[in-house]
Amino acid sequence: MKIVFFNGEEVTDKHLAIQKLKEAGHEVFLYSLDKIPPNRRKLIEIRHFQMYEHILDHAQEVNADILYFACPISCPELMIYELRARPDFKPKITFMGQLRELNRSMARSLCLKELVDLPQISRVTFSTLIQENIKLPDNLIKVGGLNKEKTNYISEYYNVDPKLFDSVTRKESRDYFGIKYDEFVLLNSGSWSYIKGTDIFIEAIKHINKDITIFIHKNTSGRIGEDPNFLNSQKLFESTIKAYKNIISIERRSTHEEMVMLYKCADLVLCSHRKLYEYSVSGIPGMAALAEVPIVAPDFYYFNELIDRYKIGVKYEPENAMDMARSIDYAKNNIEKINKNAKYKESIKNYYDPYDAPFKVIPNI
Amino acid sequence: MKILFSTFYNEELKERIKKFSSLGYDVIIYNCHLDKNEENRFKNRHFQMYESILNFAQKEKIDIIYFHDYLTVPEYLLAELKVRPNFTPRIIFSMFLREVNRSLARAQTIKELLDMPQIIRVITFGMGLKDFPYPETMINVKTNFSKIKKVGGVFYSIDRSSKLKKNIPTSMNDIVMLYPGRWIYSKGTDIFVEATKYIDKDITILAHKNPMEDDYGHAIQDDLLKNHPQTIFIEKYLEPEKMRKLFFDSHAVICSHRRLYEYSETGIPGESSLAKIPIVAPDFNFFREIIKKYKTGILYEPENPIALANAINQMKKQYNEIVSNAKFEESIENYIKEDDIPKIAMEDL
Repeated sequence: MKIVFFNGEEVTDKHLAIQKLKEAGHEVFLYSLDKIPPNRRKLIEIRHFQMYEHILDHAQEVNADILYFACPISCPELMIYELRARPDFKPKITFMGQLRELNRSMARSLCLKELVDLPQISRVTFSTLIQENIKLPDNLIKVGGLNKEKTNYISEYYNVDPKLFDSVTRKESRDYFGIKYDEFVLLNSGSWSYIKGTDIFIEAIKHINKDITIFIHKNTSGRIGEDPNFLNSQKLFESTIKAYKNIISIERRSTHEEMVMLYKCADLVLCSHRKLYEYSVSGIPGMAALAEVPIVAPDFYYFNELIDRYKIGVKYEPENAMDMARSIDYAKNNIEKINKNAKYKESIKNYYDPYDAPFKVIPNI
Repeated sequence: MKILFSTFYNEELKERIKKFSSLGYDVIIYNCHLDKNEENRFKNRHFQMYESILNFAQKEKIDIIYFHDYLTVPEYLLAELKVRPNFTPRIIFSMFLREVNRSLARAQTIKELLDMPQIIRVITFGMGLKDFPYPETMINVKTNFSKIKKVGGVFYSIDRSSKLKKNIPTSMNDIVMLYPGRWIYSKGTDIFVEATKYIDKDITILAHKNPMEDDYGHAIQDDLLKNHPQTIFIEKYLEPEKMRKLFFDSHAVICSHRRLYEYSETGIPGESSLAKIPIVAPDFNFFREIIKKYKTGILYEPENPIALANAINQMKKQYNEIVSNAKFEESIENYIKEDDIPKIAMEDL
């Protein structure tokens, strides 16, 4: 089959998925925004709504059988009208959806429903942190839900090969970062953004027990770059690490090997996400479970469901810095009990190799 | 009647609100970005802005929502309206046709939006033309045009009794051509700079750059000065009156806009006519219609730097003839003051 594999940027991780598709005998064309000629790309920057027009044009030009969006469609409203304007569009489309946005907006739920009902859409896939008994956002239920035959749910790791977790010990990881073996380490890893509640975490630091070593990994990867709401994040980062003696930090785009060591050297992993993140996915719980380290996470879906089902951590009141700090202290004081009860392996039993994503997502290949 | 004046900008709007209120309406201003209960939601969810505005209008029992800012993503507003079939406030918004002109999908959206009972009026602009043609995309999708009100053009803080006088050398050996505004891709600043390689060396270029938006960086300024040393460069945001003075201090104005600007609005033809100076402009709508109708300038093949340079040189050679044939005053007859848009919008409702 001829597959146009669309991704926002040409990321190496996705090349492995493409390679697997090619090995299975498919003809694959990687198409990313980087591939669009500069003039047309400039047009898209000015007229964002025409991005889908360019992607659909390309799929049609190469006579693709399948147009596979390896990234979420962030504006389903725009995609609907682009498809309606071309009733004879032949390639079948599969794309990733995000439940978190549907959770907040009835209008977006209705749009997604309409989009999935279009004949050109063959599959929408949602990433989730749990795999069974998934609760749908109320808004989605109110608009009648999505066509079940076209919808599926998957869970995946943070694009890291799980085998890497067996290749390094906790001691080696601590030695790598220069952390003593008897320190209690709380890891906060990821890009700094509003939605991830970086400001709430920084507020909580003031109240966290000073015996805890806070390990901040400020991830600088990502095509969007800095969150515009955190444009001064560099200053904030520097002032934060200067202000407290119990903080160690790295700021870089880490390799997969280093990501694994980050989690392996931690005693506890923090998720500081805002309520806006409800119904969304995060690589953190999967990575923490592979490293067999508990999480401290806000009490909303999916984090709360994950913790309730598999006892893999402690919840706190969302967006409450004091409660976040209290829960971190509680987890430290009860770490043995938490680790004893946690069902880490069970929590990720249905996760799959991200390189196999297209085979799980695209129907009939 | 209770009007919700919705804006996304925190600018000084008192005069306009006062004018609106003087029409006998009870006007409430609402900027959803300043709403403490709502502002954080938009940090990651721009599509929910309309949700917030419509919720507010319903809560406040508003009769008409007047969108002060141009509607940029009609798909979002349409989606919001579709989930509220019982929404009672009526809606007025303004938009440019340039985006509709390029996308059949967007024309379809506009058609559906206009078919919604809540939409009672849409204002659009024509750079000085009142009866301009609609883009073919809109005709193809059989848009209901009856709700659209065409406004010829808009001047920001117009003062027709302006005492501005020309303060430029009259010698034709020293013709001054103005290149004003933001240096951005859609305005084709790169096309203009390339053209300056080929223009007559005795033309003075008055290159004004509004630094608020810049797609090119400083290298392009160096290229301009290298291509055409006879250039006066001003990089500064200018208040409307100071900007207007630049027009009065020039012989002609250069427009290098790309085709994607077709069916759009720019203040340049109006400001030029106010200063009684001609323009060099690309041959597409609305520049084409304006220049053909009012003889206020010269057209050239769009996005072609050589054609632009030839047109600039031709402007120099035929300057007196062009100015004497131009119907500057007629070309701005259809202009209104920006503050008068609400009044026009509410007419006959």
